[in-house]
This record gives sequence, structure tokens and C-alpha cells, in this order.
Amino acid sequence: MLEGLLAGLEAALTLQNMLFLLVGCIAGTFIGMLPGLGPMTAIALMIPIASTLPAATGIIMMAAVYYGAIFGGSTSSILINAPGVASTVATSFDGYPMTRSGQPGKALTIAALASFAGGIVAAALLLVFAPYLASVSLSFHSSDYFALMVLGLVAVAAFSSEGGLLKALLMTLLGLMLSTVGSDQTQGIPRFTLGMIDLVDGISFLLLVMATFALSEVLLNIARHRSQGETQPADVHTLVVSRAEALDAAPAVARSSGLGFLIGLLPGAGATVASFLAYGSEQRLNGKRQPPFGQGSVRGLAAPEAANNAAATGSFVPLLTLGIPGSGTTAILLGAFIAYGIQPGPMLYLNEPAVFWGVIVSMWLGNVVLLMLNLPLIPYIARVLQLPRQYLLPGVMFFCMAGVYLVTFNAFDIQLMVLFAVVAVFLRLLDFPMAPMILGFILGGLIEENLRRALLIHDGSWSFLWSRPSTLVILLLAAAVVLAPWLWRRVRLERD
Amino acid sequence: MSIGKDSLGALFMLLFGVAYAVQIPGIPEVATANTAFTARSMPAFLAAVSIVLSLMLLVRPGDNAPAGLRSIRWSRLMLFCALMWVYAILLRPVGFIASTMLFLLASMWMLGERRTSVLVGVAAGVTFTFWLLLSYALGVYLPPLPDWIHA
Repeated sequence: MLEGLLAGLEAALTLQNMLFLLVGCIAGTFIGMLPGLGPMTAIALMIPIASTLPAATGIIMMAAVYYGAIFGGSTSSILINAPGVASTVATSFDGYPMTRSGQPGKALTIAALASFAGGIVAAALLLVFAPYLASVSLSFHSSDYFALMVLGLVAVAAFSSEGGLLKALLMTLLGLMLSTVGSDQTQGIPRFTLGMIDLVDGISFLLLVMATFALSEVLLNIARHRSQGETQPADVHTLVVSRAEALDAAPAVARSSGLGFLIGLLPGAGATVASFLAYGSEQRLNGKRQPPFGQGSVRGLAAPEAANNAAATGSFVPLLTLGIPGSGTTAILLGAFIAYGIQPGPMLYLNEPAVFWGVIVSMWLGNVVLLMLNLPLIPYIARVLQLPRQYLLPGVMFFCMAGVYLVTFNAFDIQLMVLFAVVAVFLRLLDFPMAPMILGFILGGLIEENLRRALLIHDGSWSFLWSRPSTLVILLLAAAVVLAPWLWRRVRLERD
Repeated sequence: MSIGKDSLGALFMLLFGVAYAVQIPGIPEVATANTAFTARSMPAFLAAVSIVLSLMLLVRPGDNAPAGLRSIRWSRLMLFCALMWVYAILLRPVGFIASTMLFLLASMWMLGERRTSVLVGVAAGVTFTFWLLLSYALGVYLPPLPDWIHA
């Protein structure tokens, strides 16, 4: 391993590779901030440039674009409540409230530091365990994925306040129902398309997120009377996170990084599930710390950020060691590997050690560069909030519409987004949480696909739910997550 | 008599669940033998559970404080929604540049900006910067002019 590390450092620490690492970080961050252009698009856009470079340089640059885009997506999530990527949705739960309380700079700093920590921890784990962890990702079957997705969904229980579990579950179901719109994945049968061809491909994730988060927020801002819900004036210069806050958040970051890395190992599970699970578990552990989760908690922001960056690193394990892309983004990277004539898989470690270790070392370097690059820029990025509302709000509306339009170039999607935004405003006024709906929407397709596959493998029998130990354990954990708050309340009532 | 938050939300979810359930028989069943899970299975399960949970919330609402729907100006909200709707309709026939500038001009004016130079300057600046960035820096083409000019 030490030899490999030295080979990786030698490969990564050349002037050319460092230069393109920097270019990748800048381009990724910038592209990631734009709606509709997440990590997948960012990497795809850089392929023409990468194809002119040597293999190690090109792959290092694209990995840097990946991390940069995730950080860029967090920026729009925190500043204007417009998460452009599924894995940054959980970041907005506490990032945006922190912005509203006048601390956008601090929120971005916490996100940058937590991402950095998550990436470093995960890169270290990758360095040590990559060859061994490949077998873990192979051991997961469809039934285990199904159980894991259910666990992710019932983390919604963590979002519910006292007595709010029913509302959170209803919103999860709403998200699941919306995920069934479009063509059935296995048989291609159109469902709930209302005879409209525009709905045959389903509802795009970006459309729903923009509608429920950014656009509904803008519409509420426009429609509220001036005295209601004013955002505090933004202090864009305050980036300082106090020592006490950093020490308090450190355990959450460490736990979330480990969790994120493990979840990221699993192809298809990815950064989204990792960030929601990290948020949910840290909320349970938060106790009576102030502010509570959902109101600008430092832990609430740091946990999903650490988890999603760690998961992004974890997703490289199946790619590098097995040649199996764990996500759409790593699928594009796989294409890049093949274009360079490099076959990722068990032999990559032996045949192309410079590439293998170079990519791993570049993850550390990329995280350092991102931190050094973004921290000084935060006050300038946060200045966008100081724009008067007659410029900021139309800008955000345009941002949402352009982002959604860029996905399919279909104007119908803009109209659908507006409709969803009005419904979101209505539900938000009734205190129905939006996050469970988004999670249900993201996981709906995966749950159905894995459940169907598991039933196919077991000849239509549901026995896999209890006959596979790993599936049973995860489902029991999910049951515990749902029942624990209710049991705890009963115990407290009896004690009183 | 005002209806509470939870009750109103439960009613909305119940209506949605019923409307969803009504569509399920319209999903074609593909004839395959011994299929435990069809295209209707998941929707049927979701519809049933959502209807049951909605009824539970309707019968036993938690927080039933009056729904504060009158606290916002719906007419203003719908006006901006109509503006975005019109933008979507005009995007292709009028082209990206003109439709975006019109949208930004109208929305800034509706939010209180009255200085013509600022209205035009900001609208043009944002529109052209965005278009140039996408078209030349990122290689993502957005037709700037009306469809009938390109055709």
C-alpha cells in the first residue's frame, strides 16, 4: 500500500495534473451551482477537454469536477434553497434556515469544512480498504437494496415532530405516487400519464425539487405581506465557526463520513440515501441542543454534507475495483476510462497502479484545493443575497425555469413546475413537510425495481424478507426507527 | 366554521389518493404467467395506504390550528404563476432572448422597480450573460431567436 501511495503521489503531484485538478475544481463548482447542470452534466461537459489529455490527467480532472459540482450544488441549496442535485437536498434543511437567519457565509463555511472532512475520511478509508470493500458491495442483493431503501424512507420518521408522523408518511406516499408517473420500468407500460406524451418519461427530479423548494419559497416571499417572514440581513463576512461549534459538530461529521462511505459503496444507493440517513440519525442523536434540526443547526448542516461527499468517494470503490459504476456519474467516468483504453476492475490495481493510486490521491488533493478555493470566495458568493428582492426573486424564478428547461427542452415542464409549486405553497402553509415527499420520489423507482427483482429471483415468494439475514436486519432496523419514538413517548408518559 | 390545517391537508391527500386509485384500472395488464408484481401492484398498494392514512388524519388530526391560507395574497401569487406560464408558452415562438427579457422586465416591474434604465439593463445583462455562458462556455445550445426564424 505504501508503494502504491507513493506511486499515486508521484502521478498526481506533477504540474500538469495539479493544474488540471484546479481547473476541474473550479469548473465543477461553477457548473454545479447552475440548476439543471449537476455532476453528471459537469463531467460530460468536460469530456471533450479530458479526451485531449493523458489518461491520469484526464481522470484526475474529471474526479475534481465531480467533487466541485457536488460542492457547487450545496451552494445553491444553502443560499436560495434550490438544491440542483438529489444529494444536496438534505443540506438545505439547515443550510437555508441558517441563511435566513443572516448567516450565509457561516453556512457555506460549515458545508465546505464538513465536505472536506467527509472527503478526507472517505479517501483514507478508500486507500486502506478499497480492494477488500469490493466484496461487500458485491454481496448486496436486490432484497437488501429494497430493505435499505425502506430504511431510507422511514428515516422520514426523524423529520416528524411530535404527532407529525402521519403527515410525514403521507408526504412520503405522495412522493412515491409521483414516482410512478411515466413508463413502468420493466414493462414500459405508461402509468398516470393522463394521455399526455409529455408525461411518458415521468416527472423529472429537478422539476419537483425546484418546485417544492426554491420556487415555492419565492412565491411565498412574493405573496406574503411585508411584515411576515422577513429574512434577517445577511452578514456575508462572517465565516467564522467557533471552536465550540466545531468540536460539537466533529462527532457528527465523523459518524456521517463513515456512514456515507459505507452507503456510497453500494451501487445505486449513493449519496442521496447517505445524506438523508446521516441527517436522520444525527437528528435522533441531537438531543436538546439548540437550535434544533431544521432551524439552522450546525450538526444538521454538517452531517449530510460530510455524508454526501464521503458517499461520492465511496462510489469510486465499485468503479475502480469491479468496473461497476455505482451511479450515473461514475457510469460516465467508466466511459472515460474505457475511452482511454483502461479497463477498471480487479486488475486495475495491478495493471495501472499509477491511475488507480493517482485517482485516490487526487481525491485528497481535490478536497484540499476545493476548500482553499471556496473559502475565500464565500463572501462574494454569499453577496448574491444582498441583491434587492425585486432583482433576486425574478432571478431565482428564472434560474428555476431555465434549469428545468435545460433538462428536457420541453416548455411543458416549466408549466408543470409552476403547478407543483402552487401545491407546495398550499401544503407548506398547512405545515406538511416537503422533504419526505422528495425522498419518496427519489427512492420510489428504486424500491419498485428492487422489489420486483427480488420477487422474480424468489419465484414470487415474499420469504426473502425474513430468509435473508441482511434483509431482515435492515428491515428490523427500519421498524425500530418508526416504533422507537412512539415507544419512547409511551415510556415517558408512564414515568410521568 | 374554519377547517384546521391537518384536516384540510388530510382532505387534499384523500382526494389525491382517490383520484390516483381511480386511474389504476386504466393501467394495462400484460399477460405473463405467475407474476407476483405487475405494473399495477405498487400503485394499488400506495393508493390503499394513502387513503387509509388520510382518513386516520382526518379522524384524528394533530395540530388543527386554523389553516392560515388567508395570510398570503393569492392573487399576487397567481399573477406571477401566470407570468411564468406565459414565459413557457412564448419560449419557442418568441425565442429565448426576447421571452426571458420580457419575463424579467415584467417581474421586476411587478415587484416595484420603475427605473427604465435599470429594468432594461438588468434584464438584458442577465439574459445575454446566461445565453453566452451556456452557448459558448458550456456548449449547451438554447435557440435565441423565434422558432420560425430558425426553421
